[in-house]
Amino acid sequence: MSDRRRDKPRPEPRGEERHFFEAAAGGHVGLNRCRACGRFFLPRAVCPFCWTAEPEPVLACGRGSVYSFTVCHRAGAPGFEADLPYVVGLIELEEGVRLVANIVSVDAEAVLIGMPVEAVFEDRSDGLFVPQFTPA
Amino acid sequence: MNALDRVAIAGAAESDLGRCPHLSPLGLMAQATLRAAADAGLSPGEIDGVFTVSQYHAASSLSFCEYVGLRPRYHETTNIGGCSFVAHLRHAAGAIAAGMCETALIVYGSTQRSDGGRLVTKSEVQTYEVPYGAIFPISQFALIAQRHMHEYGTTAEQLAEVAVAHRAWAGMTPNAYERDPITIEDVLASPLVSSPLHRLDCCLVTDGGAAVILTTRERAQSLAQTPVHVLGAAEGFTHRNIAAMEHLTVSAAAVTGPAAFAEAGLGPAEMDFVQLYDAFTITPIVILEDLGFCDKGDGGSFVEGGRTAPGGALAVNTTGGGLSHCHPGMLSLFLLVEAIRQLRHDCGARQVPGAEVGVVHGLGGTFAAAATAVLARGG
Repeated sequence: MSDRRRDKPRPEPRGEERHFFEAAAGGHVGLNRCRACGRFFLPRAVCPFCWTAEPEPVLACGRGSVYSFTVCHRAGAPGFEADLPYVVGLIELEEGVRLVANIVSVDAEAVLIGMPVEAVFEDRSDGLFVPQFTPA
Repeated sequence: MNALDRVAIAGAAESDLGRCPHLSPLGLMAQATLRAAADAGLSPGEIDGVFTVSQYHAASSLSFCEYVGLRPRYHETTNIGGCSFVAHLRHAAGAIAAGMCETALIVYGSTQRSDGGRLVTKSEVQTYEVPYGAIFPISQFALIAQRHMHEYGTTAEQLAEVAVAHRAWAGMTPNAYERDPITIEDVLASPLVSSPLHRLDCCLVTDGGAAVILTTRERAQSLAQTPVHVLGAAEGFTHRNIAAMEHLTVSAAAVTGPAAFAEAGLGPAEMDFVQLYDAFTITPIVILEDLGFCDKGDGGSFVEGGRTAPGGALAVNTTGGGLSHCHPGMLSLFLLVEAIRQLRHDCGARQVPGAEVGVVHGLGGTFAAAATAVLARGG
């Protein structure tokens, strides 16, 4: 029997991108922070706000709120059929960074913009963990 | 002298549209090219600049030029998503004004309907978004629609008005894919795909190709058609991944619209029509706001009561657009072709009477990039 977790699309992180997924395996949301201007962003080799090189890998607090969301009524990718209907959220972290992630362990009808959420970490098998969010 | 002042649009055509299992993507591009050249009254061999993007060919201009036997001295394959062809118009004007080519072809073709009826894309895996099952690109636009409803009180009925208006225009367009009238209730009763977007809030998936030919003002004067001039043009960009779109309800059109209008020396109130990228019913609402046809947040009420439908105060997407006419994956070249036909007064029942000037606006990606052009009937 196929493992449904393994059917879901898997990212192909390279280089500095791996921090995000390594952090998730340890139960954290991994971001980068600029050593000059202090702003947070998803891992990259340069700050996109002030262009300072070599930002610092950091762990976010894992709390945020729902900036927007959509309820998917058909599977957007393999492995999601059994989850229907499922919620794709746009989460604004307290650090100011937005992430796309599923909002889980909640009735899809109960999700609202502005709702406080916190990160949980989903085991997608073979060492891959991804952040998800649930009402705080 | 501005590059735009040195050029004119001399030819424009669609290939067969809808379901075209008899032709490949290159075949549709070739058919559109021959039709556009015949429309202009020039030989395809006079084309010495090729501007194209494809979701089928990595080196798209090479594949196309071999197929049709062209040996251009200028190639361009800038890909900023579905608005690329409006950007190509500006780039081609620059190339012609700089003497790098004289007769530029902008061309596109896709068989995504015959290939299975889903968006065909060469888009790469988005590292941080791919694990979550978003229905690309519907869910990304659904996030935008949901936020617009939250911030401004936009309603599902107002979104549906857009689909109803565009379908009414398609009823007057002989080669439109969907021509039967629909109601707001029909849109709301169609299945939710990715809330708040229903099936009828989403564009078609069709086959089709199109071609536009641009040349010098002098050359255009001696060709077959009334020339169409480009009075202003602009490009803009905000993000690649939806999580990086700073203001979910403001697109790059808020930059390109004012820039293109300023270059043209005209404003929204002077436009006889708008051809805009209606991938989903939310996009015309945001674009009309960003271009300045109404204030930010008022797009929903602006489209109420059939204002953008036939007989309304503002003609928008007079073929029926991507929602009802055709949507072969990258739409903006089809919008450009219709704008050119309107300015030549070639549109039959759907003709905007006496159209002299209009605006074309394309979006690329998930409202990531934008290109706007203000066009006018030449003398």
